[in-house]
Amino acid sequence: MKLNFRGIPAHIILIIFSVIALFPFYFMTVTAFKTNNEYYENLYAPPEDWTVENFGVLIEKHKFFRGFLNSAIVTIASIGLTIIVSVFASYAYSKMDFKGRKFILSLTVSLSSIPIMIVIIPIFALMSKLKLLDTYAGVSIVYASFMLPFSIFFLTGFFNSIPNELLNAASIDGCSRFQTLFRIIMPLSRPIITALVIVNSLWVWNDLLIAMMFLRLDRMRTIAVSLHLVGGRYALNPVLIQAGAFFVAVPMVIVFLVGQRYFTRGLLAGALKE
Amino acid sequence: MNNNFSKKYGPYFYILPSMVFLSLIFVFPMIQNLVKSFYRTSFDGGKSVFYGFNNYIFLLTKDFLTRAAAWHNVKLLMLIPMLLVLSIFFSVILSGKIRGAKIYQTFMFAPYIISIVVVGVVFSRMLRFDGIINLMLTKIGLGMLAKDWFGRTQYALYAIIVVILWRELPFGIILFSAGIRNIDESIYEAAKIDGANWLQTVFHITIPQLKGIINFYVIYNIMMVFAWMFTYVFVMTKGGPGNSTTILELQIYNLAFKKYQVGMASALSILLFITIFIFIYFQFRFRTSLLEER
Amino acid sequence: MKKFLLFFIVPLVIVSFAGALLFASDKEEAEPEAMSKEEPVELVFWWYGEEDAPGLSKYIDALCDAYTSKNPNVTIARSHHSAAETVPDFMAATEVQSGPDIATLWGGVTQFEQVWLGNVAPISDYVSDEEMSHWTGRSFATYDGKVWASDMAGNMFVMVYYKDHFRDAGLDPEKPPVTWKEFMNACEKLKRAGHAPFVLGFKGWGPDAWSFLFVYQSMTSAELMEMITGKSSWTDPDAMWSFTKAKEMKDKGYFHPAAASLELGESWQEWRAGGGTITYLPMMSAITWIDELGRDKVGIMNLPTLTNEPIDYQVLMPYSYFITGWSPHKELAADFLKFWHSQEAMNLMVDMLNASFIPPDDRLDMSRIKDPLKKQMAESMDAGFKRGMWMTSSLMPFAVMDEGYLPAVQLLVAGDLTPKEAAQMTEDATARWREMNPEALEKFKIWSQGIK
Repeated sequence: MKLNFRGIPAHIILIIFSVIALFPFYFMTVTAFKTNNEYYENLYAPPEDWTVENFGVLIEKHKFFRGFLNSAIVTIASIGLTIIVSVFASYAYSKMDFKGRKFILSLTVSLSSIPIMIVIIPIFALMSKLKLLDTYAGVSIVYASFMLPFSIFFLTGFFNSIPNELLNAASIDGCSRFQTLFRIIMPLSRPIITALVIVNSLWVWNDLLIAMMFLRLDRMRTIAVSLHLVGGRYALNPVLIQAGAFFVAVPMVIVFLVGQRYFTRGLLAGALKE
Repeated sequence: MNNNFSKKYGPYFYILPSMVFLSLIFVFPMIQNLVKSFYRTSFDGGKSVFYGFNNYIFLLTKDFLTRAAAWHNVKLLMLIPMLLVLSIFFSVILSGKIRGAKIYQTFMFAPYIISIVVVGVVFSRMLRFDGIINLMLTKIGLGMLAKDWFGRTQYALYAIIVVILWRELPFGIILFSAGIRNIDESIYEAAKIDGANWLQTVFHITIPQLKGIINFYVIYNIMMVFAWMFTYVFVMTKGGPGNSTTILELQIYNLAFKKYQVGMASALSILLFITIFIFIYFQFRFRTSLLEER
Repeated sequence: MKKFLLFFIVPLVIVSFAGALLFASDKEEAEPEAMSKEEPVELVFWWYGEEDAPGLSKYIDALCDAYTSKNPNVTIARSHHSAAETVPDFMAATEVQSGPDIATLWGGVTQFEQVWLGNVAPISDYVSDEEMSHWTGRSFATYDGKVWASDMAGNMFVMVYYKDHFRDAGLDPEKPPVTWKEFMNACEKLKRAGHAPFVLGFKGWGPDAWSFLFVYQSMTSAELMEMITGKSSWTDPDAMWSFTKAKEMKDKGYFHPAAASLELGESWQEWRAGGGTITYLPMMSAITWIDELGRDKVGIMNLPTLTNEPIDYQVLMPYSYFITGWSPHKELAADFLKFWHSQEAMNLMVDMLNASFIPPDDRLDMSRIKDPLKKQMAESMDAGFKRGMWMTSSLMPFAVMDEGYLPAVQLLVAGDLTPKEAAQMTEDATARWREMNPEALEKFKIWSQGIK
């Protein structure tokens, strides 16, 4: 009788909330396949004639493939960097003892509460001096750094839940600290890292402010920026915007569905448990 | 000797890369901001004029907009209990052996995938005065609840809160479902033998077992409320109607990018950082579990 | 020892970065290169507008190519910026004093704030007076005897209405109201016939468009600027006109019922979907939508007038392009801006953009525009440039809009304020801006002397 609240009422509640959760997704999808005139005539119903014309415009005129490619490069590079750096740091915070550990960790965590727009101009100046503007490397570093506090916070909690006995056993077997990380910790935390990858890539994929400021050349634009430029000041072509949003969302849906198995198990594996 | 050295100083090498990045992106700019917060930019050729603590004094005593914004941020904190209760509620339901739990969970994750900009557009459409939500309320006889959600100062902030709740809930649900599934089954068995009912098991077993995650989630949400709300507000109301949804981030954005008061924007960000640091410091102080090894 | 390390490593990281930066900033900025016809030069050109005028990017490409074919040693690197990002991006560039040679910002006070901050070079130093005299937007870009910007075109709003709604209400669809009295009568009839008479959103920056529409009914640009400088007050009866009108129209139910929860874009879409009769649209959307809906279905009207003289001009917001203060190629940049006013470039714009965008220059050959609808719009835009009618947000500092006019009108439409209180709120915000920006106020006064 583990948690026996599962009868009809539970289903009703879940169905209602699923509908609420899915509604904007539904709206986006049906609008993406409408023509402009049809959008103004019937707003919420599915289109009578499905059209893919909008996607043609996006790819041809707004260079969505190019944007997709840029986004993919930036997302993969920055996530990779974040994961490597934060795994090392979290390992130290969680499994090693050193002076100032708590202080540095709390400072690190509270850094993620600094609003982006207030630090962005000094960072811009810095990147400009380092000649990293309009490069994938530069923008990936910026993204990675913004994701670090949360990632370290997240991973430290998980690493805490890995029993020390495991590590001690490895140490007796002659593993160095570095080897322990790769032989014991990494295999155990594959799921949690998948979870982190999904959460972080959703943010990078959809971000505007940083992409806009650090990748200024038209050929470097990310897909979120392309979508933003489609929308324009008054968002007067709703059909094209929703088609663009659909285009932007599809890769993330795939990433989520593929990663979901890991994702749910990732946090399941005892993450953050006391 | 060598071994001793690595034991003592090795950890610092593990955190060094992260320190480099964080200094680059946060510490260095914040030091610059700290300096800037004592200056104001003069429109006479863009010179920086030393201004002492005047930026701070103005923000803390005179600036009604900042005060309103801070108050709205405090109001947004009500999101935290709402998110907590709802996400625990749903994850408890989902982890009962309900049929199709996985599908429901996938559906409920949908909001987290769409970008906030699109969320804003769709909800603005639904929540407007003649929008579908008010239409439905009127149809089911709750016409008196149909309000001008984004048009009146009394409701606009709550309308935004609902949208944020909608979009941020999935993360909590996933987090807590995973946590619940990890609770040792034998604890429930023991409770069953003691004759505990469903509600009692939830309150006496599930929630205490989730303490670590709750702690994590609260800290995460505090940071979210103070530092990651900008896009929601900017997309949906831009602070209106009549400044009733201005938040500190929007205030910083307007000061820095629209009013050219960079000194004051810096001062405000320093104040914001100090506030959050205090919040988090107390969280860590009184709930050290997250940092302690088991 | 451990303690030492802690207090050593963290500051070391910070200091090394700070040091690296200081070192980097000691290096000289790029030396201004001598103008030379042979040396290859790259001009960095930031532009905005595709979102207002679809197809503009093609024109920009053609324009740059035309210039390059005349000056083979010059290449032009283009960067497209969106409305939301023009200002932050430019501020980031000013921080490092490098980036674009030619940049764009909203014409008017937004650009002049950059002039006053020392980030803009005057074009008139590089272009002859004779050439300048043809630029119809120059009076607006003049400050302290120099011209600081060239306008690519103007953004303008037009008032449109559905003819069949007019018919339903028993109004003559070919004779739209001219005076305010007639306008209000028409609204009353439309309301009785079951149409929302006037659709314009007030959410977000919605009141912006309201101010373009109505502030000028009772005052000129110069008078509006007097209220900013403190010579006159928002609470004067004439200045309060836009507030009292909003109140009156709201009380009589002439606004769309959801006006308070619609953004400008949303309210225009509502009009497009047939949810209201009259609206005030950006020119580009007006042209596209009129063609979509059918030209016989939609009429264009002038702004209603308070006097008996019909208003045959539009208020504009110029797309201002300027030479940045740090550009090493100022003369070349000025030459490129001058090229926009050449017959070749102007014809290119009219042809490529189908006359939906016209350059502000009195040498423009209006006879190239064949389409009567576009001709009508082009002429009223030209009249707007010549008369110097600028959108209010080009003249009001952002603080006055953000803390004063926008929230005041929103609260007024929501019914929380009376016109008097709304005017007072705007007045307070203006006074606060004056108090906090003494230098800008002085400069603003100098600028306002040149505005009619």
